[in-house]
Amino acid sequence: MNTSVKIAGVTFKNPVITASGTFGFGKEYAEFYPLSALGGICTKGLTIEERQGNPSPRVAETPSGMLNSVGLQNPGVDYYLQHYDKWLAGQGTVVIANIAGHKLEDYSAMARKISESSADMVELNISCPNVRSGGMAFGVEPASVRRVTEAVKRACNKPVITKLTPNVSNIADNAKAAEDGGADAISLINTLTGMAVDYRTRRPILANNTGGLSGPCVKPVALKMVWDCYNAVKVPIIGLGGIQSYTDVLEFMICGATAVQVGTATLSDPYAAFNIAKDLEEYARTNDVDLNELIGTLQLNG
Amino acid sequence: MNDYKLTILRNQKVGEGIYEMLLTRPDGVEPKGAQFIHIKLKNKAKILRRPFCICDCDGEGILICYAAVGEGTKELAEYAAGEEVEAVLPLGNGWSADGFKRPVLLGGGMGSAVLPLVARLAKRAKPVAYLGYANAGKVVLTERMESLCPTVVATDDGSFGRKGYITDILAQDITSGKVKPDAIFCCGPEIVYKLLLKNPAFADIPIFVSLEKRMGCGVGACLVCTCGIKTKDGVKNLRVCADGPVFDLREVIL
Ligand SMILES: Cc1cc2nc3c(=O)[nH]c(=O)nc-3n(C[C@H](O)[C@H](O)[C@H](O)COP(=O)(O)OP(=O)(O)OC[C@H]3O[C@@H](n4cnc5c(N)ncnc54)[C@H](O)[C@@H]3O)c2cc1C
Ligand SMILES: Cc1cc2nc3c(=O)[nH]c(=O)nc-3n(C[C@H](O)[C@H](O)[C@H](O)COP(=O)(O)O)c2cc1C
Ligand code: FES
Repeated sequence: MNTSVKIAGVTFKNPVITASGTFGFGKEYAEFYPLSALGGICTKGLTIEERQGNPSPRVAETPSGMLNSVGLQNPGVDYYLQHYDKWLAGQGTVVIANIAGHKLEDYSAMARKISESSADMVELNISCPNVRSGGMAFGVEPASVRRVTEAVKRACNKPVITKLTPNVSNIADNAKAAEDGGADAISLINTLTGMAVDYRTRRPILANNTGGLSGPCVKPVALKMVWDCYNAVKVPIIGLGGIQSYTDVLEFMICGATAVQVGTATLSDPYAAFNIAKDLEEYARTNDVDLNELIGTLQLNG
Repeated sequence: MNDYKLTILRNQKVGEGIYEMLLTRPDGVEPKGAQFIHIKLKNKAKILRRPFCICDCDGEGILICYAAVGEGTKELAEYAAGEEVEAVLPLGNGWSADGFKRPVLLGGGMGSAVLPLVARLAKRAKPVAYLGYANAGKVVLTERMESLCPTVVATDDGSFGRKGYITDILAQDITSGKVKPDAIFCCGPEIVYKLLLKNPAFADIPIFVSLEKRMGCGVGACLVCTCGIKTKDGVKNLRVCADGPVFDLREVIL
């Protein structure tokens, strides 16, 4: 049996990584369990400057899911390097720094900063609006996905994961664009744009009006997109969207994911990622399987 | 703090749409006043936990007092004694009356639910409670509070206790010299906070409020529960769950 997987030369002891924005910088959850039980952790999205994010309410529960409009609140990359980088490096798990920006230069500058950090990999959040193209997200047009990925690859000495947004017409085209731009891996999906409305006040619940949908309700969308991308690119895929259990992880791996991320499930249950990793190991042991053998083994119905 | 399986010892109606739930207290858990508990619902489609302040905690167990206002709290009201619930506790920084001599504990409606444990844990301080409710049907926890500290009760319509808004009643008692609070600890709807800021009777008194915001993780990791707070570095969006839930009212951006 084997639960370890490898992405761009980095070994994860198991395929379970915590998703950006749902795990802070790990300190809160280190009080519940040793982070070394996880394959990896992905930090909250970092930007060059500190950001205060959007007004509240920033969360709305929806059937089997939730919308968030945090708006990339984070203490800025310099604060991260000073206060979290070293601590994270000592946790015995793979560290992925998630970075964001509003201009191409922001991404390059972030990539240079992260190059000096102890992070093992960098993940590009390209769901943010690009101020130079009327606010359309970097992740929408394949050409722009390629450009951001190239810029980061040039500036960064760590393996680069491009995180794809599902709010596009054909995600496989964007996966290909990321691969062409030099991405060492891709991750998907980021949140789906949505809205929750209060019929009494006739107003959206989120102060920001719209937000990103996540949680179990997005899993079918994510599985289909992982499969589509698996058939379009050769680079490894990190699958996420609604994962709550080890069987969800197996489904993502069968659809082509080499590793997965657990996001919203951690909000429902602080032990979610820990338990999923433990259950996966148990599954691999009882069935004597190497999880790598599952990747992309989906058999379509005739 | 940890995630525990707690047994429901009782769950009963105590007012109009208001319930008390008594839960087993896990070994070694000693909640502070104004800390909260984050309860997982059994309906799996409701993925977010529901936060409630730890109303009281004694030899009996951990008490929460809640209003059934939406689908989640209505579901909670259906749970029977003997069932288990999963909950993370104790969360938040809490607040102690002992930093002061004669604090007033002010509760508006369900906000009163945060006060019993604060009163119980006051060792040196001699708190006085002021509890205001809309009407007699909404009056809860008054006997518990009376057993812990001197307590004044009022309803907006006069159907129970003194008549009037609790902030007005407290202002009268301060002006007449009946109480001389060196701090006010308050939990209630936002309107209560606005009245506290407006009324000159409270102008020189430090006021601490226990805030409610929609939450995700409850432990400080997801940043969905923030509130604008004036700090020495300007206004920052602080986490109500982990940096609060108690803040200096005059620093809160309402
Ligand atoms: C720290 C803290 C302590 C609290 N203590 C108490 C208490 O002791 N007694 C009590 O009756 N209520 C308390 N509340 C409010 C209580 O959490 C909400 O009434 C409850 O979450 C509503 O859930 P629902 O499913 O019935 O309502 P819905 O409106 O269906 O809930 C939808 C979503 O909004 C959230 N939400 C709705 N109203 C509130 C609110 N006022 N505050 C925070 N989240 C909300 C819910 O948690 C859920 O995620 C407290 C809130 C916080 C943040
Ligand atoms: C509260 C919250 C904050 C998030 N913040 C970020 C972020 O900063 N950067 C990012 O790339 N994704 C962010 N995401 C998206 C998640 O990483 C993930 O892609 C998405 O939630 C889908 O996975 P899930 O259903 O397991 O949560 C956030 C999600 C949530 C719920
Ligand atoms: S609820 Fe997640 S940070 Fe407060």
